[in-house]
Amino acid sequence: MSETPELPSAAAAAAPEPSVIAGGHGGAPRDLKMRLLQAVVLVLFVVLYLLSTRLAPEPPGALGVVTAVGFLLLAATLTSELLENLGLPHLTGYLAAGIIAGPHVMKLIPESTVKHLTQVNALALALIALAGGAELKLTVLAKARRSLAWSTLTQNTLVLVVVTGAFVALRAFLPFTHDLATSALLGVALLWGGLAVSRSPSATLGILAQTRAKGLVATATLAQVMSSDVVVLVLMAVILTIARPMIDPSLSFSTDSFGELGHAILGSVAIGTTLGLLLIVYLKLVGRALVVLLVALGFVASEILDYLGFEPLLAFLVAGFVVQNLSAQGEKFLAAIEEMGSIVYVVFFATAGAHLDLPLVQQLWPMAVALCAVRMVATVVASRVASRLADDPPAVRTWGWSGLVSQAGVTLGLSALVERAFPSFGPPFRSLALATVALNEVVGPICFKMALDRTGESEH
Amino acid sequence: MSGLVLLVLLLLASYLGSTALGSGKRPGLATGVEWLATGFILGPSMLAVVASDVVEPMHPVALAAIGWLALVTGLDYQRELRLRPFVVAGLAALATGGAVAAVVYFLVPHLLPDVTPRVRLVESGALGVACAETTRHAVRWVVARHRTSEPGGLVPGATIAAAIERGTSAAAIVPLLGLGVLFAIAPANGTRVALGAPSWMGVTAILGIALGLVAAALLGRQLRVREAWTVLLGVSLLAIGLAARVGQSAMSVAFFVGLALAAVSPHRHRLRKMTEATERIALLPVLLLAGAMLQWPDRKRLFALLALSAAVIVARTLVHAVLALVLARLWSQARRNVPLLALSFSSTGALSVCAALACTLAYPKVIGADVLFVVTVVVLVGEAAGPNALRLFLRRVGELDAAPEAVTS
Repeated sequence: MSETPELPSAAAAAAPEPSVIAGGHGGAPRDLKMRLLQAVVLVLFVVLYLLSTRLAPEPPGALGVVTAVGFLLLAATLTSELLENLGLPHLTGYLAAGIIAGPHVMKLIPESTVKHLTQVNALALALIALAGGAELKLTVLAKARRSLAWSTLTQNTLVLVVVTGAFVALRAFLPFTHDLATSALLGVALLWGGLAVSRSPSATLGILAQTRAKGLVATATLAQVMSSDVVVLVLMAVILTIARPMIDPSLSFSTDSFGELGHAILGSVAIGTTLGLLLIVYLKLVGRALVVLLVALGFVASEILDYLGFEPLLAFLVAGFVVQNLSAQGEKFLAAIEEMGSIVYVVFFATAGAHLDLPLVQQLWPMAVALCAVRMVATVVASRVASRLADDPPAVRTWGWSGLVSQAGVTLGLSALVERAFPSFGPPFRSLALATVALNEVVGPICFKMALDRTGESEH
Repeated sequence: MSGLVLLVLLLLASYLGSTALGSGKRPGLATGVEWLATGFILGPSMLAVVASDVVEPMHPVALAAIGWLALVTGLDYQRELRLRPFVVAGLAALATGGAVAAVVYFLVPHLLPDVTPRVRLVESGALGVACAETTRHAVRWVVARHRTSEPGGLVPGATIAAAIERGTSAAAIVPLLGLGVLFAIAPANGTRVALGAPSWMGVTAILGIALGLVAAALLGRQLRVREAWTVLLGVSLLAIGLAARVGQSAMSVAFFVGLALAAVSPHRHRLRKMTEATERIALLPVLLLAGAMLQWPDRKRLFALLALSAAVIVARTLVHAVLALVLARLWSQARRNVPLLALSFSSTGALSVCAALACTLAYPKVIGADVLFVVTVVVLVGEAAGPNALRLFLRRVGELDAAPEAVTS
């Protein structure tokens, strides 16, 4: 347990250092021997973990979490490495490992432990938003503003309209809508359409972190997904305001929620800016112990912002943006986030996999598949239309949609909001949302990685 | 505000505080006891700013942190291992631990008559293990503060300081293995398989070594730094968690993981560099949580535990006096300063607190509370005596410049 350098000695003369790659990826691809070893070790870890659960009871309190985190880190990393050979993104491997180890398949990690593990979500989402903001360079945004504006407009109108229409059309297969009047059905469908325009910043950043992609598709997707966070919040508030009197005729149209929303957005931007400026000062004057600072931001700032009614995701996004664009500390900050994120994301996505309610997906899969397919088609069409209007380069025209398929935390958060606001149909509505998010969470990253590989934007 | 948030906030304040207070190379006190005190003052026993329902969910963090520190110690262990200091320091730590355990075993029935034979055995073993070491933090703190060429620094070729440094580092193996033996004798959790103590010790060693070898194999020949972090953290947490699940010592298993990794991985130097910086990050929460978990006993038990602490300190000092006499035969300059040399070995610190915390987590009731209390007293006394005695000793034997020091403890 050393904290200070040791006394000089002959032994301090280090042996020749074998090859080292600073990032997590790159270098020579893993050979067959290594892949075999990884597969064998993965099986060994599963057997070891299984054996321990059979031989000894769950340790008292939350101590079981330690084993679960260790196991998920290793199993998810190894699974992602093995799936890499099939061209699948690491994120898919993390999710797969979580699903298989989780309470619905192998039952290695019990539900209670998964619940404890979700505490890491706050930290992961903060890192994702900070990195998302820090990835957005003003110069790049200025160049892509025309494309971004058209894309935002078409995605948020076309996808909303098409998915809302599809929901109404599929009414016969959605039992919880059978008793609804036409206006109420339209209101519920609008809410579903609102969910459909939300994207997944975490999946986008997860893939970009893995591939270290640089290029038009990567930049356009990042800008689109990050800005969609703000747009979807506003859009959802508008939809909620419109849908409420449609679903419950006893309620009248009220614009109060617009005021609350404005307060939340402006407040989040203001706090994010202040946070960003403070981060710049810290990075300049101290510049050390960034891990501790990020952990504190993830857990403490998220909770405080949430408590005050602000949007943590938006505030962190702005903070990252400020650090990148108002100082020379952006790269250092990003490197620290990436370093920490490479571990946190594994646990985050593996936990998301373990948290996936497979029986529910099994039950609702026909409707979930249909709604996902409609959303995907609408996203592709909207992307093509926007690219044509903005005169995007061919790569963006062909693959601009690929990063917009994934859905995860934001969508789940919004569906929880709907569940709370409309208890009459909220629970089945949320279950359906969970099932579609599960599908999009698996399919989306694969599409995006394929696009980055095909356009040659991936680093390797 | 949730407990987790409060605790993270407290940790952030501690890091910032230690950065702000630190002047130069080594902030804070030699053994880091100030963070132990901070945890105690803010914890449930004093101000209750951090309540017990906040501390309890943090047990996995504490377990992971002490395990990680043991792994880092294992990784670093073979760096400068030389036979003579290893044998001398190992025997000295073994004798110290043995003496403490014997004294406690003898005194417990007189001072704490309500304890069962098992509690008596485990408590004496735990205190023996936790109080066996002389913290290398204290030695390094004094050395690091004076190793520059500025006035007040170590003179070139300071062989005694180097030997003490090497010896105290080598002695870390005793408490780390001692914990393994203790937990093997008295497993903390019930398991569905009945094994004897030697078998459990074997499980501890095999589990740690096997996982260390697997980690080395996964790291491969080409080190990808980010993947390396995932593998290191994953393997250490799995090792720690599995050990805790079967009631064995997480610290011992993690230490074996580190030893095996350092023995076979071609990246051992790089891994040491990578993990070195994490020690303080892991140590602060350990000290704070240990402080917060410290229970203030009732009046009767307080006197009993203080008497026990005094006996432990006396036992340690006697063994250190013998050790100083032996060393004085080897170092001619030390012959006139045997008492100072003996006192120099009185500092205990991070490893002792980690061992005590491991016992508190594993045996949460009477044993844990008693062990943590006694170890805290021993650490406090060691903090007062050890670094100052060492500084004075090194100055007297001519290894430290006589000029006034820029920084004092």
